[in-house]
Amino acid sequence: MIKFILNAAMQKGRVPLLFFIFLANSIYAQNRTVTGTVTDSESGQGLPGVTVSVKNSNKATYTDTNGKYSISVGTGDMALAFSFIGFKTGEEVIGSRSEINIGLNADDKLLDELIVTALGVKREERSLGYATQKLGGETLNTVKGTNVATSMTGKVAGLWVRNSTEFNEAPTMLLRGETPLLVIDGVPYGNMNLSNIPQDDIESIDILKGPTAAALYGSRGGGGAVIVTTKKGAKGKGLQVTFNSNNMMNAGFLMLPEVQTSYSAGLGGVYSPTDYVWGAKLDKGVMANQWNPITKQMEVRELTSAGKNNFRDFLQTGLVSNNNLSIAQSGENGSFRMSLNHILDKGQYPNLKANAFNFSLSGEMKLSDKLNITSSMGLNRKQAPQTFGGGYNDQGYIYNILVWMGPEYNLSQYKNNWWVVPNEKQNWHYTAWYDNPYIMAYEKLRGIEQNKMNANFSVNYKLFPGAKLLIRPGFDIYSNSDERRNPPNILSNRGWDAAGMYALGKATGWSFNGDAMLTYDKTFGNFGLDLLGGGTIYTYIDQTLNSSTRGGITIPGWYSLNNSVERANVSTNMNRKQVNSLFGKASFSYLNAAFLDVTGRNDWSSTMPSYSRSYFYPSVAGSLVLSEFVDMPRAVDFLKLRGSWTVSKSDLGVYATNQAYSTTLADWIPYNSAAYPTTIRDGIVNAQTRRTWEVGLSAYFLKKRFKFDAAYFNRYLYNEQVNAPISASSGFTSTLINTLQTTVRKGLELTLEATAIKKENFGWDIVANWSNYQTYLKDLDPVYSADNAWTKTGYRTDVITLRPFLKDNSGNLIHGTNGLPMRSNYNYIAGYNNPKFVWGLANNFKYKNFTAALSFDGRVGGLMYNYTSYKMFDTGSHPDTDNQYRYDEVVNGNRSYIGQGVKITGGTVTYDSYGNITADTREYAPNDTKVSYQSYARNFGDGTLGYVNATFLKLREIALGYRLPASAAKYVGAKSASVSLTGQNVWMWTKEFRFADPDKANDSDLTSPSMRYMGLNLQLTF
Amino acid sequence: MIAVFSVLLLNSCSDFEELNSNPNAATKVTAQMLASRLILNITESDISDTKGFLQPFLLGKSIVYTEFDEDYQYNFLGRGSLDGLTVLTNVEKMIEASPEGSIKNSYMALGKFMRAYKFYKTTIRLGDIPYSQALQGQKGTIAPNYDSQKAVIQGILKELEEADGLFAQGSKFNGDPIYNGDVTKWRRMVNSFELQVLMSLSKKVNESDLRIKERFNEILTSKPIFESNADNFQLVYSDVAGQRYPWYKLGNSFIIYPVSSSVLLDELKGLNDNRLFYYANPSPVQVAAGKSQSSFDAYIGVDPAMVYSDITRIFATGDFSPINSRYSELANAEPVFLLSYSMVKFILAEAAVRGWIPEGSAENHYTDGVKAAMQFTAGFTPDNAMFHHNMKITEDYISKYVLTDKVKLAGTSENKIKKIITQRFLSTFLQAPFDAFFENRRTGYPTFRINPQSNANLPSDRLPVRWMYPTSELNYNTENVNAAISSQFGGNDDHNQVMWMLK
Repeated sequence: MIKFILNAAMQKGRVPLLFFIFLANSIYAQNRTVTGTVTDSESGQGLPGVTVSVKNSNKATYTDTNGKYSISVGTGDMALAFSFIGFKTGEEVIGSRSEINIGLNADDKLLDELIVTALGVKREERSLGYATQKLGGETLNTVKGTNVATSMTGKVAGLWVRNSTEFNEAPTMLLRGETPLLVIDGVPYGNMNLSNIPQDDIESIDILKGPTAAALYGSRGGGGAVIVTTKKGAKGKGLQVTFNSNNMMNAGFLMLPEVQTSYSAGLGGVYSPTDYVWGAKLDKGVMANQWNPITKQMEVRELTSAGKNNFRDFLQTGLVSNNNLSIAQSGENGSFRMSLNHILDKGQYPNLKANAFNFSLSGEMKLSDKLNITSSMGLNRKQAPQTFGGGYNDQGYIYNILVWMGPEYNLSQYKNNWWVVPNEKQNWHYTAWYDNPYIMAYEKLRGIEQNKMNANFSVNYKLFPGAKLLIRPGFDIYSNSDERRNPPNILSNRGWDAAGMYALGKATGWSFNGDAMLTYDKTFGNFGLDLLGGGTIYTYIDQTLNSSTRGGITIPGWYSLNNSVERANVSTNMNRKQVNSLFGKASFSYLNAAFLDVTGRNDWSSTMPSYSRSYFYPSVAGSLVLSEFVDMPRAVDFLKLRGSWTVSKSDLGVYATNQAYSTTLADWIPYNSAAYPTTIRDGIVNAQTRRTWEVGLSAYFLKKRFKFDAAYFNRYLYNEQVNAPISASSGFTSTLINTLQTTVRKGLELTLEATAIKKENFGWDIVANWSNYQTYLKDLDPVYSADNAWTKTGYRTDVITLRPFLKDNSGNLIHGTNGLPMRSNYNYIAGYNNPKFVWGLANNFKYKNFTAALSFDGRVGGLMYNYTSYKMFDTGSHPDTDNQYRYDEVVNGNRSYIGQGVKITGGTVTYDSYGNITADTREYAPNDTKVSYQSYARNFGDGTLGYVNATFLKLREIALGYRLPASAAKYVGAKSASVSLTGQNVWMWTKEFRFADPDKANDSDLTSPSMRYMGLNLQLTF
Repeated sequence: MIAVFSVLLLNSCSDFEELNSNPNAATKVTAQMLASRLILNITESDISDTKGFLQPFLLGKSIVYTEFDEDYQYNFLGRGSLDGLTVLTNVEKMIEASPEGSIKNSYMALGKFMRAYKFYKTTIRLGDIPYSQALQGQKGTIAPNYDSQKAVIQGILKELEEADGLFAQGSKFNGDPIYNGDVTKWRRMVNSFELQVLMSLSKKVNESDLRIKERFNEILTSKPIFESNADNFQLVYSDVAGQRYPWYKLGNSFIIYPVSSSVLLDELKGLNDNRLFYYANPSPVQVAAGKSQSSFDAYIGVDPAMVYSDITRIFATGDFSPINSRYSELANAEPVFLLSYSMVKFILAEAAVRGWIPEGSAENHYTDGVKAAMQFTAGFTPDNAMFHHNMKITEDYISKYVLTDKVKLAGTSENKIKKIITQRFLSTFLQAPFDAFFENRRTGYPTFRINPQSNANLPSDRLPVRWMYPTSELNYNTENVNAAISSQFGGNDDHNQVMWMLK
């Protein structure tokens, strides 16, 4: 795939190729110049990015986009070598020629890319018995948002990236349904995350899917691994300076809640700024006593829809500016690279702004033929004075302005005008729950400051032929603070203090991961043997200190713990853990076409009880390049089969076995209190085990224009460590055990890479990914498994259950004598949470110097709680409630709504504990009870109880690029320059989901507007 | 290298125990800390705050709530819970941690009382519950058998009597926010509570093995019970973070929702009872129309059985009585009791009317109860027109009030019981959570109107009498809960099934 990506990048003329071209070194003595063109011998097209080097010298250059090169040769220079990944190296004697053209032949053996596997071992893909996928850094550094994970969405089969629309909230990654381990330059740091790595620093990302791939990472790699390799120097030799700036602005919204604008705040059709939006009809001449924010007094005025654009007007224009400057040099004995990155992130709500800096250094030293050291370190700092604004529980802006307040006031009149008496009386028309949003933006603050540093070095020493020693310590350390403050007399005080508050949280910690390993390679004729053995120590400490004022603040405006009314609250916590491991691997190969790996690892974990502290787990993986042994149809260039079997074990959470009391300081002054835990934690607990087997194939077709990869896995989870719920009458609500309940997860992943069109001036490349998985109950625990209708062998585990509205045998909604639909007292299956599948489709087009990249992705199936939409039926702000029944009730005083369905006229019904009907003598008649539409809508909503199909399709990213001709680039002193129109989160379609972006797979706490980002990328290489 | 690692592993493994011990969590605590948690559990936690504080009074029909068509307001009980029992694991730990000597008797007594109290509050909601096998999860009993309600009640009575005996041999203990460890006051509470339990079994008075009358008389003749409001089992609030009155305005956005109920207000109006002016505020619309805040007419309760959308209309017009401002304006508005001297007096009056104790004492007990209830309300209300609307309850007023015909205990036994329970209802406004519901369930007083147009119970012509068993029991104690459902209710776990104590 490297080849593919390079090709794609080269052909498009985007930045990546700037790393490869125009690196002609002028520092060497020269006699004369040799020029020429390197072509693909098959297609005759020029090959860009080919390394052209003078044999037995340091002189080297690269071909340009058209495959042309120019190199200076001296009198002693005998021959030129032409090398390019995916092709056999060519050689030409120079002689007296001044033009040397060559056609390179594809190297089938090199179809494989090099994959960075567990513990940083680079291996050819063909030798791997498990699924991996690689992303080149080049594909990730044009559309640069705040987190590279967004750009990875849909790019890897089996990786589900869920992107949030909330400010400063990182995407979450699920690999085969589990959180993968992040490994940076071979180090599985304890505290690093993808947002700590500037996109420009990424050389490549290898996704090791599933536990076999990450077997040597032990329990931490049980969910697979995301392996990031950072750049260590310039491409080729010499100095390289690059500047990459991407600036994108909010250009509209993909999803934004809409509300009705016909009715005011209030209840029962009467205006009242108390609560709810079930008030009077607007723009009908209804007069009401209303707060005037300008004169700051109550005045009788007409109720109008003056504030129908309140929310849009309140939003600010968000932007992301991601800038990187890097300086790198590579030479004979090593390389060095430094990179400075800054990201400015402005959110969609006023006062949301974050500045993130990253400074990183990396390099490599060849101290001798035997000794090599690489190292990298990074410094991250992020500051945001205000991060608050979303959420239902947090009483964010959607909760305030859209869900709970009416359209009858003009919010813009409250801007910069939010106090009547500072800290005492707001300039506002509500007295409970809802604040002037501008107070929230500018005085109710949650600021963060985060500092993080990571460093590692790795020492490689060749002990004797075939044997190498690697020592690689990695360390990270962080220091974060979280500050919250609010003035007295705010109304949205859930989690805050209505008497004023200052709260300070400090979190510090570090982690250390040290590996030491010995490897030994040996070839015996057609057989190859690789051995690896070593050990790891992983340890971390996290400490937090949380404090806040108690009982409010004494002097308004002074935000400090020293201003606490009562003695301040303070609490501390510390988590710590260590895992020691020994591991080994033996790899056998035959003819470089049949491979077998066997691994074993033993962990000793501090979180496990002494009797189960040590646990061992093995894996076996094999791969067979069938096309090397069997004649294939002409269309098939390469075919590999692979399979693996792995056991992976994991330990408990920190302190999980501590049967400690919870204590409360000053629970009731002067008494401190203590309570025994409600979980039994002192039972026998062993390591949790996953057994995974996996089969797959990968193949190239039709002269390598197509690559297809398929993987099927089966993960059996047993000995699962759970806090199993038990009857509370036992004195405990749960007990920590290894349950006998087991689950099986089955999944399929498909990837197709295709060169759809390959013409001289036009090219179209496609990468398509498709994956799914589902989890099923396999065995039940006779004691601890729940006894209900859906905890049964073969049932899915992601079941959504709820108390549905009652229906008769014909499916008619049953209404009570009050005319309202009735809900069951029992839970039933409503559907499933997990998607049927997720997919991604990336397209790269190229026309001459122009390029276009478009990536789509989405999910299909699965239910999701659409709270943003559903809640508005209750509050009265849902646009669908603006109908004739509401009008009739509010304007004419007629309660004319009759719920469609039946009412019970007699009889009874009884149920068993599963909610199955055991006896039913109910009789029905059509429901004819007229009720208030307001009551009906608040009870019934749209009848979904909020759960709707989450299917969506998104145009994730676009990049339309133009690479300036070298002659133009020279004007700015650059060797190359390109500009691109970039966009992220560009467009989406949803099947049923409304008013909220389902991308994050969670709308249960409301979802902030989904911003479309459009902008410009500029890349310069000097 | 392997050797180096092995050494490291061995070294560090020995430290692993310490590494995995949380330095910020206690593995040893004192008896007094556990006593505090236990006592606060049945007071502070059960009383709850803000909206949770008002919930029992929606079911008890003294408050109407306008935020939603609340389940309790419309008589939907849903499922109950056994989670409240988990706090009782602290009993054993408290006794273990106690110093030896007489103080240990106090902690043992407190433990017995706590168990009796929590099991009682659980069984009266559900029916049969686990009792004899309960609380032994750590010894391996994770799915306890259910005991019949009768067996549970017998156990409760036994434990209460043991608690009284142990407190009698105990000494002042620490960690008690209610009585400050005074064992005499605790004896009064334990015995008064037993009276309450016994009275709740009024329908079972003929089951001789329960010895209801005998027990009642034993307590009355030989054991201490509440003697005044000073003995009330109540939590006293103050203007300190976390210890303010549960309806205090600070940070309480729910203060916009409650409306006074006509069930309460009409009863007060009918008795010319000045507590009206202490419990409610006048309707602002009526006051604006010229009525005096001291006039009974200015107070308008809303029928809690009214269809919710009608209630919201009235609410929007503002023509209703909010609850009295003192509940939201005063951080220490009044203590909240779980059991009061007045309630005990009403229990004694009822016992006398029922002939459990000398009948002649009924009038005195009743009058004492009414007086103490009024003194409680008046005593905690500042002399401020905002809170009593210039209709002060004075000693003079009280002594006249109890002599009025409408108040005086007279008529048939049934009529007397009606008056007693009505006065008990009036004395527990925002007090003794759920007492109004359970007393109405037992006696039918005061009458709660049933409106099929709004009632969420099915069938809609009656009030529910129990909570259903929790889903967690159906899931994790299936056999036992199903056995209890079939033995009590013929397999039909339903809100209208009548449990043993109500038969």
